[in-house]
Amino acid sequence: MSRLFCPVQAPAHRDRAGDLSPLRDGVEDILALSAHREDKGAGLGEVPQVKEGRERMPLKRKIAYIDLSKGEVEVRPIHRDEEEVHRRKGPGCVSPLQPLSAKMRSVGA
Amino acid sequence: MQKMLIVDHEKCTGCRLCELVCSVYHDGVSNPTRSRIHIVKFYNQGFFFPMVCQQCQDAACMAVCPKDAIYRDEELGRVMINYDLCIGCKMCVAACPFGGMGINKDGAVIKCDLCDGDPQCVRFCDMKAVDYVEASTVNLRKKREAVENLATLMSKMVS
Amino acid sequence: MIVSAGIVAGCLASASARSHVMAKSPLTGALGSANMGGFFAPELAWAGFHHLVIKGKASRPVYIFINDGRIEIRDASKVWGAGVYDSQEILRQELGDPEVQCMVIGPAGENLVRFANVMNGHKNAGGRTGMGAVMGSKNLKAIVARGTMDLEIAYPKEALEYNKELIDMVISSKVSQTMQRWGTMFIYGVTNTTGLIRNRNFQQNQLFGGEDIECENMDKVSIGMAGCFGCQVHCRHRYIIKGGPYDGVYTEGPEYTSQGAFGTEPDINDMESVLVGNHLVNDYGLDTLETGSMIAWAMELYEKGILTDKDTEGIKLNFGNKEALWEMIHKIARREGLGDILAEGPLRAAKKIGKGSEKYLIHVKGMSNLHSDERPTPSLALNIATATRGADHLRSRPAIDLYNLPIEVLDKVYRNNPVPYEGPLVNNYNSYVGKAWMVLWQEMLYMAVDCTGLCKYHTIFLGVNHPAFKEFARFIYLNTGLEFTPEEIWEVANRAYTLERMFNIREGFTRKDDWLVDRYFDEPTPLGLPVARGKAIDRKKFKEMLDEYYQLHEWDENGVPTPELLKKLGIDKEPSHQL
Repeated sequence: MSRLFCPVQAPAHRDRAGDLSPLRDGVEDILALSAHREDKGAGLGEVPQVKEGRERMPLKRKIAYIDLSKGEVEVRPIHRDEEEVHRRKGPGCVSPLQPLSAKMRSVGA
Repeated sequence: MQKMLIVDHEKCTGCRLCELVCSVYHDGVSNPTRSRIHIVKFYNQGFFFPMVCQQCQDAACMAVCPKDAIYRDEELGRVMINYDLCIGCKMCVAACPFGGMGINKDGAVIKCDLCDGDPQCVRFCDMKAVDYVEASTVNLRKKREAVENLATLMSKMVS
Repeated sequence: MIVSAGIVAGCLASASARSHVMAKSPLTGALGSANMGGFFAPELAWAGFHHLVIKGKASRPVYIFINDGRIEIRDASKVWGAGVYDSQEILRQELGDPEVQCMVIGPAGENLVRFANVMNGHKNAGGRTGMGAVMGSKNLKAIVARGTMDLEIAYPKEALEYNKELIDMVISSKVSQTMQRWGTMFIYGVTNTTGLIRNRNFQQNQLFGGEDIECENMDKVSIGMAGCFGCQVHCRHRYIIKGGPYDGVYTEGPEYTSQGAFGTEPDINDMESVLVGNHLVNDYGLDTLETGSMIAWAMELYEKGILTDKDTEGIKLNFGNKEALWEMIHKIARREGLGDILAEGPLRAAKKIGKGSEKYLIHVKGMSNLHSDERPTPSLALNIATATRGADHLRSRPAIDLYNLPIEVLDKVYRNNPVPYEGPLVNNYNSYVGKAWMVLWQEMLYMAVDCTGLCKYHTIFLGVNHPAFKEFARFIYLNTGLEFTPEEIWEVANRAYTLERMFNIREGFTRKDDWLVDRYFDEPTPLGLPVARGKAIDRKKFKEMLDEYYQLHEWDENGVPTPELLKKLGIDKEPSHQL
């Protein structure tokens, strides 16, 4: 459901481009949308119609939030009502300055 | 006469649908590492080659297996694994010069079994870069294709 | 920026190959949105992810590596500066795996050309709106995926069988069979003969004697066709350039768009121009469409004396000069000389050049249009005026309007498929009647297609008897287990489309931006068959059609979605559109 997201914008980059205007980061919008959806029991961008008594197939689709400025990654399942909620950020994540051998201990599939 | 899986790499468009249907047919999931056929790509030359078990008559995998777990099924012209006997030593994987024997994520050795006579890769490949034909007719077909190519070339030279 | 694989990426749905990139566009300031084929989306799915939200900017060149649930940010110094082809080869070598799939930017993206694209393989481009510049601005050279995990199929046996039905549905059509043989280049013969293409930057709508760039000439250089993941249409050539300064170069394509960009628009009847132009934009990572349009515009300015030899640094930027065309592509990618100005995109370049250059632009909302000439076709004129990312031929084009199909067929496609429509439908592409609904219907269809990750050639774009909402519902169910009715898929598409509209409104785009440049209204087409000759868009009729289009969307007279609609779609609490 790629086009359901409110787009996220690149940060201001005046030095090189001259006039790539300051842009508001829209990630909060997505989280707000996500929260709104989760209240309805639906995942981001999807409106599953789970009928009574029908077995629900696990989707196991994930969304990763990657912050290049901080070198942090946060992974979440798209369906919030799955049991695990994977969150990992802060020290220990790979920053661009670390050598290739340093790998982020991330959440499993 | 037996049928054989024949590859014509010039027809291959590199779409890898064969890998997808192979993994779904055998394991019920989409995962090309579970596919028994794989398209080897040379990206900078646009050269795509479907590679799959050759179902050898005198198979190296069969010869090397310490448990005689690999055998030939002459009816379909295929080399098969008896998983009840297989101990997973992977000697077959090392022995095959074509990479025809693989290992999947579950640790099982896997190879093309011709989908019991209805190979799905052939079924789904519209170009017929991989085809399933009477083995004895293959060279006749290739001769004809070569003559047609020559005729096209000749007509370009003459005109 | 958001990078997404469709919901059935890597699954059994004819060709489930496509990925999507979104950000605010550095070209237009409106919605940035680009769709890319190839093999990246399935690989991302096998690696365990369907969406990436990438914030911030790295302090030095990096790439993101995604492998079986793990994400790393890695140093890209070895690959920064490399062309698109080489970048991917370097990354395959560095990661020691020939199976990794990349979404890369070329030097154009690194240099923040405002219409730089993102690429996978030799020619699969997320072309429009400058998404490559967004990545470049983040110091992000590539996103690399490698996945060996299982992607579960809900009902494998049924999905497999249904996939065969879907594929047969697609490849049994004549248009698909033509594309299988010739690629999208076959379209040119029809549109040029009719007079529906742009030549000499809108001064003419036909390229006389334009036979050298006809698709049949590809047989001289083509070594076969290539396709995206799962696709049996394989709509592009693998070719090797023969002779000239680029002799021996291998690449893929070219698309219909490149015939326009490097053939008809700059008035060059020479296949070599198209073959080389396509290669250059592929390797630099430039939007072929925008590049061709900008250079053709510059050529008209040069013709009219607005640009001089001083501005072009001696390059003879005449229509018909293919060497000058190629030289300008290099200059744009490297941001040198005039190229640095053209790299800014239509509106900013016009502002820099001044001297009335703006009135020669062919754009909507600051993005250039395909080399098609919509003056004879009101439905297509409406489609480009209202598309959410600017002048665009892929977000709402009712291409089948050009076929003048029997009314019964139009009824089958556009009524109750899946929602009711009681208004008129007219099978005459010069008409303004019934076209607003056709554009709306196609918007919803293509949105649904982009959400699934399918390719538009596998739906009702060029072919009529292709999969649509009913078929989407079926393959989504068989692959994922999620049950949607066709009406619910329509609603998902409508919700997403409305969100896009709200974003543009937030960014300051209003009704006045859903319009065409004056040339569409003031200059009738000079050439073409009777159905295309002497045509211009009628302002009054276009306005009425736009009003009707807004009404059908349930937007107000300014094109703003009504509160009732937002509530109906469940996005009334969505804060992103509130200023």
